[in-house]
Amino acid sequence: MTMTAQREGGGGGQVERYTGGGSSGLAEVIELILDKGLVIDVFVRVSLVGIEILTIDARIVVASVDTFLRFAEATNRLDLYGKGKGGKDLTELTQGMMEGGAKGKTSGVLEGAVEKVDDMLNRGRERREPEEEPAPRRRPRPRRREDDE
Amino acid sequence: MGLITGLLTLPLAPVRGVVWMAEQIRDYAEEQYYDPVNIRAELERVEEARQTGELTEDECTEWENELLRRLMHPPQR
Amino acid sequence: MTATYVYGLVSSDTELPPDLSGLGPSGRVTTVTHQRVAAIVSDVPTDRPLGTRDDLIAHERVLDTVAERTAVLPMRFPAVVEEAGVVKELLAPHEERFVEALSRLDGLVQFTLKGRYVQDAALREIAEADDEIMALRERVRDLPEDASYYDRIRLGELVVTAMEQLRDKEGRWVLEQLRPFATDVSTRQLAQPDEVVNAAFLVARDDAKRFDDAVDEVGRALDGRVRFRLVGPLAPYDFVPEGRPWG
Repeated sequence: MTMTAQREGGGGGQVERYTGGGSSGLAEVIELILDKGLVIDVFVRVSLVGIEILTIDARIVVASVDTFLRFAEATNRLDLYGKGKGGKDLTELTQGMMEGGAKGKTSGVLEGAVEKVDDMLNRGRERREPEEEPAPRRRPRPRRREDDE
Repeated sequence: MGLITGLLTLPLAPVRGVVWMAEQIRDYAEEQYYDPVNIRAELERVEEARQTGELTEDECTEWENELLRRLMHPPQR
Repeated sequence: MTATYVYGLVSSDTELPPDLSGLGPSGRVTTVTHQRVAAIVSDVPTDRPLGTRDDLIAHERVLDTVAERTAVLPMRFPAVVEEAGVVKELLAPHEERFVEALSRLDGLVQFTLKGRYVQDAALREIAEADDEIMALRERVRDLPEDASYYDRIRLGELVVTAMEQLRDKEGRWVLEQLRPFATDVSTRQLAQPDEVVNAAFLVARDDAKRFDDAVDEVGRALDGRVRFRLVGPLAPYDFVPEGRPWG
């Protein structure tokens, strides 16, 4: 086994690793073995021993009003500065990143950009969002002091 | 007197309307309940609870099996 | 009549890894061979319907453990046949097709990469770059909740649209960075606006480390903005030939 269980992303990269199975969660497993994998005619013709065949329809998820409200609320809860240079810089840098080719150059630019945002926001990242944001459920969050325009 | 007469002569339609509404609500609730997308989102929440230790392993497994039952045996419409 | 559970198909010269654990009462996993192909099989629980968490995980674990070393065509869950049918109805009639599919997957494993925005970081970037969003946000904050309903929907819609545009671009970039390290890529539908990437990569077993390093690079490049999750090595679920038996 060359790839073993979870290891920290080297050099601070935010990549969680799983070898599948229980470690990555049941939802993950379901996404693989219920939706994908071989399905062939024979399973219909051969008499199955009283076991139902499942058809899980591929759901086309269209952004709905619930989604809009959820994101509106998240946007409201943010602590924002007025639209300033910092925000623009990141967008510009992102543009540059998209167009840029070389991997090394790209990493450097973005790391710089992220640092800039960090400085700007001037709070340590006390809290990370959990990896899987549960959909509509609200988290009680401490109300933060609103900045002046 | 007039009020009671009025009530007695009300057509049945609003009552049917209420029943119809209740059915719509129930259908929608059922749809949501059996929606694979929702079930999978709920499975992810269980996984979180497992990671944080909010629920015991047994509680998580029981919840997951319940969700799987729902996923695999939606009512035939 | 005995029921047999089929996990997947391998070439007949495959030696199964030693500690596979099946979902049936015996726990044993073996193979049934027909000429050039073999089915990975086990017994089936008889006292209850299939579909518990343990069943699903057992199915996946058997397949992904085998896939670490050798090409396997994974079955969708659940895959139950009559014992006699394994050769007669599954392997014999389709041997050619299975051999061909297996040879195409020879030496390859799947990795699935998911990436999602760190929500506050993405929202901040989006809001601060857009006057309309900022203005609407202020408006909504000043109004009581029921009065602001439609404004909130509008605000959400603007934010979601912007986020989807951003993630489309960044998602494409991520794929471009990783494509050179994979034989094939299969993208899955993104369900939420803050999902940046959800894709399966078919990678040569020998290249797995290089691919992994490339994912790390991408993770570093987007550190603080996107959180990634890499699952694998897996059986090539996303790369099996299509073949729906109904509809």
